[in-house]
Amino acid sequence: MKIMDLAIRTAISATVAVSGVIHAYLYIHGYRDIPAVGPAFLVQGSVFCALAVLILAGGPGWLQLCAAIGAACSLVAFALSRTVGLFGFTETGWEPSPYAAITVVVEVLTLVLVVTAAVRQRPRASKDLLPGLRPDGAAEPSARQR
Amino acid sequence: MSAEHDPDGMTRRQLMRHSAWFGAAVVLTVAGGEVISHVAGSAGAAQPAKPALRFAQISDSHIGFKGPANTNVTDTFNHAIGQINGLDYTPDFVIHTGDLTHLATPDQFDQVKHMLGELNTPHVFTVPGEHDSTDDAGQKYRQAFGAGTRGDGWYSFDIAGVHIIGLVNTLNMQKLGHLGADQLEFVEKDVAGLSSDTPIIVFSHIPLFAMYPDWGWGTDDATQALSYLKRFSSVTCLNGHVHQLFSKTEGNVTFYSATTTAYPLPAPGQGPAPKPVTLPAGKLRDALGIREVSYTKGQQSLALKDQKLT
Amino acid sequence: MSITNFKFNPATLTVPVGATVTWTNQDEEPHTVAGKDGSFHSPGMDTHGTYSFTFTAPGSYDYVCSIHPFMTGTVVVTK
Repeated sequence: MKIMDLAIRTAISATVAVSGVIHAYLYIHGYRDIPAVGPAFLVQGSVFCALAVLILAGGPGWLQLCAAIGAACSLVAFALSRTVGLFGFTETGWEPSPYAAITVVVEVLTLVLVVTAAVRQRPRASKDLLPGLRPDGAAEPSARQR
Repeated sequence: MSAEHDPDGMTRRQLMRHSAWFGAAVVLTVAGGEVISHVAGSAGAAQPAKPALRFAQISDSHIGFKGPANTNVTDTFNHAIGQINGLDYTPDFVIHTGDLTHLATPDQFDQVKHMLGELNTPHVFTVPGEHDSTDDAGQKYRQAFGAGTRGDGWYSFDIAGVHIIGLVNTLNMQKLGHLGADQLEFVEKDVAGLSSDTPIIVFSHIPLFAMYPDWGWGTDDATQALSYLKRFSSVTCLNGHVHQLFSKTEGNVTFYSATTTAYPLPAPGQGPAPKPVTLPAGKLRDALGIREVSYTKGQQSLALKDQKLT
Repeated sequence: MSITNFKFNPATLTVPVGATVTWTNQDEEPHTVAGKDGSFHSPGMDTHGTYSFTFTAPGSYDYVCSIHPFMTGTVVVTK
């Protein structure tokens, strides 16, 4: 259903945008001075904002894959920062509140939505994977015709 | 419009399409990064830059005061001096903005001079308060602290690219602080040759702005002095006298009143007169304090940090 | 004459020629009395400090506290 696809795409774009904007905001307001983690926030913010725009614009599926990978990495980094530390940087609990909590929620949503979208794409994807077959299974005339 | 089928599943067209999206992603990312960095740069002013000038202000020690508001001004003044010495850097100088003594007796001047000598800093500057000029129009003050000053005790000097002026507005007062024609002429000539982007700092005892004229908290001819400073981009006036923190910006000038190391005074109008306020036990130290000031090249306003007495 | 709460009480005092006026400082802060025409100038009076001046010539004498010049008073000396 096209509307559904559009809705999912918009939702993914939104979650990615929120995560990117929050990382960018935190970078501006103090995180820039943290070694390694600071620049990483800048990269995350920039990449995610860019992805959000392009996903909303209807870009290819690998954009969403990148968003999912990015979200997963962000979540891992967050977990590390609360436990063993990330490049020596640690924080406790859900600081900075409420940004940390919002970002986690949004990134998990990104993962969920991207997987959902990918699953929905499956039936159509098989058509592209086997270019020689028509949907009903009959063979396409070979394109290698002179 | 024929699509060439490549064995690995992507047409040239699709490749171009994907490349275009990838290119867009890169461009957007870089652009976004630039924007974020730029905002971060302007939001968090160049903190890593080391200040060109750092000094401390201390004021209104009123050595000789004996009253319930502070039964031991010597002790609190000593404490303030210790606090300045305890900073994690050596201030380039310390300025005492007046009312060093309470009654301008020779003993009190001696005591203050000795105590100021304990400060860990290359220079100590002062300006007299009205209490320092009781009885003798500031003669004893000048004997103790007037070395190198002009007229009734005013002066100027340059340090780290900043021009500093010390003014005396506690003599010949009518109802408010008064600078006088000679001193005004000094100010006019003193800044004539400076470039307009030279930061200017002015020290005085009584505020150079009308903080509360009914209690004498203002200077009658300050506007004339400030008119000579109108063209400068950064003018900061630090004063004492009012025994409380206060700040105000008027045009290109920012005024900061410092608190005292002796006893608090009421806020403007809060009471019949500016008489010492006796605070509940244990609250006195919160009303006293010192001030750190730093100037970083490229920043128009000075960075002030007021510290309570610990 | 008392000096209380940064005010001279009474603000205007009338005395005959030859009278001696004594100011007593009831405030915690020191005060002075200084005639605007320079005819008298007290030393600093601390709390409970006093200063006396004998007015030998008639006239109206405005004075201020030289430490807190917003404090003003007048002594009117009559023949």
